[in-house]
Amino acid sequence: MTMFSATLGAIPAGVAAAPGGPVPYAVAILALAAGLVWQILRMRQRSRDLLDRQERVRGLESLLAISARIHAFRDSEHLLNEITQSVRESLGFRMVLLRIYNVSDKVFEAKAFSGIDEEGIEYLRNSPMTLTGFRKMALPQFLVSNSYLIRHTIEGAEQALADAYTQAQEKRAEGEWDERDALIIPLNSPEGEIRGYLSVDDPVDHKVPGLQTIQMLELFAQQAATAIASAELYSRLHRQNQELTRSSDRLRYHNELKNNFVANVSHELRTPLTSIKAYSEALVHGRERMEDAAQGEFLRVIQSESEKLTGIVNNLLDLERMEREQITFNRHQTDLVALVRGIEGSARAQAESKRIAFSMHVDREEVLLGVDADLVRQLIRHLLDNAFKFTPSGGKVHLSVVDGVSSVRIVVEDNGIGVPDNKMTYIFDRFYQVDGSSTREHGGQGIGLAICRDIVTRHGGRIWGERVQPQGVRFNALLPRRDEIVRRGQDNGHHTVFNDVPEFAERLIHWVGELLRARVVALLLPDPGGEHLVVEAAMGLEDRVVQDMRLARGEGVAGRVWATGEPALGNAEAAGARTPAERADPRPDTGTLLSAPVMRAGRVVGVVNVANRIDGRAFGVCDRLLLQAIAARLGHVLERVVVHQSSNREFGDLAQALRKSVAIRRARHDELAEICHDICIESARRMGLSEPELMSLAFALQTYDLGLTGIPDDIIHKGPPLEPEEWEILQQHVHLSLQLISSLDAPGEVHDIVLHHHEHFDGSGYPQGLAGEDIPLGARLLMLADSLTAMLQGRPYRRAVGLEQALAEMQQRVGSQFCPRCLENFLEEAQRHAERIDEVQLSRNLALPAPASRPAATPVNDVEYEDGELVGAASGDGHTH
Amino acid sequence: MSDVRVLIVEDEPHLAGLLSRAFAQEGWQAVVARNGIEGLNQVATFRPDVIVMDIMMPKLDGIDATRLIRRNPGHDRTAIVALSARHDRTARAEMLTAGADLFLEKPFVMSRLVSQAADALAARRTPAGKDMT
Repeated sequence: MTMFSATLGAIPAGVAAAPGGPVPYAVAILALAAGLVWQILRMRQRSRDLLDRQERVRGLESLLAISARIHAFRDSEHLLNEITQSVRESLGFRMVLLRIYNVSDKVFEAKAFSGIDEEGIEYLRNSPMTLTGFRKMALPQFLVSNSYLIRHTIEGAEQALADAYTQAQEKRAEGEWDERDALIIPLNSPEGEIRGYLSVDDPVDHKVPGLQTIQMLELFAQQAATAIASAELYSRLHRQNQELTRSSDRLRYHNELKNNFVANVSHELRTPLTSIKAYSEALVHGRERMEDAAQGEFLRVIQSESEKLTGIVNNLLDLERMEREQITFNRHQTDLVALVRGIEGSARAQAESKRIAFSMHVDREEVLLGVDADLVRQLIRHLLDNAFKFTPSGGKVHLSVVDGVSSVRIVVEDNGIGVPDNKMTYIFDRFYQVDGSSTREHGGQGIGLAICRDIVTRHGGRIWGERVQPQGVRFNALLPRRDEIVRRGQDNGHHTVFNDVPEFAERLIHWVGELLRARVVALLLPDPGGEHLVVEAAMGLEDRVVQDMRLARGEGVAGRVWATGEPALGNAEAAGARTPAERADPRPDTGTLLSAPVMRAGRVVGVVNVANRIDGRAFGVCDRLLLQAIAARLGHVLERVVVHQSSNREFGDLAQALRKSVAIRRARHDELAEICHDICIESARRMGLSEPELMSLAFALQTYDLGLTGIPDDIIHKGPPLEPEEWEILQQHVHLSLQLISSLDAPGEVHDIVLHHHEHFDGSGYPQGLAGEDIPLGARLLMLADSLTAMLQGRPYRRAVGLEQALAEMQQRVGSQFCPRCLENFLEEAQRHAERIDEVQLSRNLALPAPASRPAATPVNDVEYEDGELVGAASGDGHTH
Repeated sequence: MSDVRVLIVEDEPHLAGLLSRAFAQEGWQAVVARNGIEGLNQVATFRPDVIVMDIMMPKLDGIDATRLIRRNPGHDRTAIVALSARHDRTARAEMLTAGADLFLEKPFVMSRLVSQAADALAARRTPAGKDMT
């Protein structure tokens, strides 16, 4: 239109240039000129229409070609890239973005880009357009055809594009594309639902696109939408097809196993049957001609082959029963050592007959676990049978029972023919035979290990085989310790937290058991009359005890705790048992039973008992303080749980904190850590900390590294140098710990101790750079315990060292990192535990005691321990961070 | 029939013992081999007239052992009686193709084994086409 108005304006100017001429002539000229101009204009218009049409046809042709091309793409990612590329190459826009609607997240994700730099792509990928954001752009005032041309001059444009990626620039002439403009072409499904949109920018001709261009883009968008839909359909079909192929592979594999099984079993059954039949026939027909001794020999063969046959048939029946889940599962507290000893005799006989050396090792005299004794016996038998079968004469088979905190492991190791690595995972499959050929040395039906796996799975455990060097295989059957929580019957009608949130209350009990390494945990609450303590819930106690126990005020350890509000250590076979030993000194330093008051607003509202440490040792002062600290808050925690059970978040936080503290306990708080905790508590006592302060310290020792569970392992395990950002993440663990600790409702001093346990005495620590006596005493001591623990245990980036070397290294940092007075007390206490530390380290093959002349364990790469976690080269001089 | 030499190739010791006893009672000379390889060695040294061959055996199975024996024309007059707890058709077919004269399924009738072995040997030793004359 610009040209039209310019032409019109030129003529009056020409007329004005001829003044004084005869008017009619001028008029005629003017009329002629006007007619001429009109003609010219019409012609121009026509030719332009023609050109436009040609252009349009050309455009449509190229569009058709593009559509055909994009429809050939099956792979979504390539297709989307091709779409944006096509718009850029053929439709005249230099910048193209394609967003696809994600139905589940309700956002438009940036999927393909053209003409956008990496920074822009990164930005777009990270900023999905929300449905609301899209609706803000798709306003009626921007609507052109079916697209949205958001011109910066139109009201509301700025707001509409607030979420979009734009850069404002200087104002352009009318009709010129402005960087603030945007053109959005929706991609609709055939049903008219929005599937995504194209956003185009920077037109090649710098012009605001006209209706024609927009319609062209829309046509293309329509094609693109169908292409995307069919690509999605294709990929879904492809996935389903793959899934089908996989499941048919699985079916074929299982079918093959089954066929093998039929062949194997019939062979296995016929072999002893053949002997039985042949020998009995020989006896029937030739008895008169045979000597007695020969007859006896024949009968013995018949007998032993019949037994073999019976064994095979029994296995088959077991498997069948297992398969139908018919086996009754009776979990009872069982002594695995006694169980293993019961099998020992027949195992030895079996070993002798094959001239195999059989040996056995048990960790302790008694390993109690809630299992189905019959099934576990069967499990061990099958593992041994398997080992004997595949171990040649002169070989060795070793059976051991390994007691762990959270599980018991039954290990059967042989030095027989072994299992190839690539077959290790299949051997537990039903009917699988490592050597299925007709030349195999060993018979079998591939049932034994399948039964083993079933048994272990029923116990919630797992079983695996591993290769033994130089030869043989080791089978590990891991049976988790899952002590059942026994609850008091609901006859008396009183209502507690256990009625409201039983699952959570159980978790609390497990948690206390885990932190104190106790097999028995009992929560005792007063009965409704307030006369007696009764067991509300317990772990590791027999149901009978739980239901029957009633303690009067002052009776037994728990009754006394209830009466006095003071914790007590006693000796008992099980918590709550009333033995004379319980009437011992109310405050002994050690005992097998530990009892502490549950407090609520300063009153004793119940008692927590723990008994039978997992390692069989007595509870010490550190344990007592810890239980006391937990129990003192337990009343409040329980109440909070009941009150807030509707508020899932708080509840979830607490549950998470409990779970994490169990995880960290298992991962890090081994016997060495416990010794270090003891040293820490004892030094604190020497330095005059009060009982409540000691309790807080004990609590802090258990929980200060909870936050490590939130830090990625590769950072925790990485040796220096740490990247600055990694270092930052690692430092975060203090805050994570604090968050979790506050969920556990710990006393306030615990918070301070944990917050400041990385503060250095000279003020160079974190997070607040406190120095000297400003750092809470508990925090200074905790740092010592943490450092020593790390050095004694070793870390992935640094070998463990012996006590002597650890203390020497700590002394080098006195005054800079460590408080001199604390270190002095700590060293003295540590020396008292030297023997036990050596013992534990030796038993775990950690550091050997260093010879005087040369330290045995030289720090790897000059890594230094500090605050228990590494620092060192990360910060250059190893001390400033 | 006496002085016939029989080789029993069988990995199951009880059964092998009983078989050799049964043949010995009929006056045959019996020797036992515990797998295919041992069997081949015995074929060369002991030169049996009849071989009782198990199929599923360690090291070398009965089918391959039979095939190897039949490859040597020197053993053309040796009868091979296959014994197997594998009953599938493939096993039977493979064994007969490999060159066994008879395929007996386990468990078999003990009292008939010796006579069946003797028949197989007789058939082997009858020159082909003799019946035609």
